[in-house]
Amino acid sequence: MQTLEEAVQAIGQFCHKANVAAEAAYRINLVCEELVVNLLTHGQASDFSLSLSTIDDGFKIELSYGGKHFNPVESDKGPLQSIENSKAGGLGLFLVKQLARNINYRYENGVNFVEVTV
Amino acid sequence: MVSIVDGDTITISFQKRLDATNSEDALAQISPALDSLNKSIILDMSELEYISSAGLQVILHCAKAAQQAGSQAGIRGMNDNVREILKISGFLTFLKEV
Repeated sequence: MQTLEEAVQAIGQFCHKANVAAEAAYRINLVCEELVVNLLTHGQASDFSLSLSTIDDGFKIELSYGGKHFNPVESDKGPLQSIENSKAGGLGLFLVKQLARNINYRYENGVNFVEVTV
Repeated sequence: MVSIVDGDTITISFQKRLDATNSEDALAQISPALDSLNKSIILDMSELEYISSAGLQVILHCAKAAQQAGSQAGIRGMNDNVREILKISGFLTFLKEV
């Protein structure tokens, strides 16, 4: 895949086929969007691979992309404290951390792998 | 995606998704209504199904415009998922539910 639009479409199809409940579908959509937007904006990869699967107690999101070592969840800036203090960069990754049950990152042979369970 | 009603207050209603695929368009549509703002803003989320951090930037822009104009920004009609995102992002500390 190369665009967020492709990912959104694939996520919609997965959630429909797997009959995913609304709250879980929201989490899957949000985690995927934030990670994909982040890698397309800040990473070096022009394309990525996204895989969604059902696991015993939830769902697994697997995202992989090339380029240099780029761990999207290494830093976030927490929630906004006020309108004045509102450089909101990092908010997306903060949301990923809040909504995910588990996040694993590894870098192997020039490929970044991010696994998130929700 | 977004519709605007300019009356006693400016009501900005969001529909379906507000995300990285459409937040720039939404902002372009809203921005003229926020120029020389002299009344309160109501953000109506009752038809919004999904918001991400890109959508939160649009909400933040509206809240900032209201604050800079010395007026109020209120929010209403959030579904449970949208409310959770706004809450954990800290937005409900400065946006009043109306």
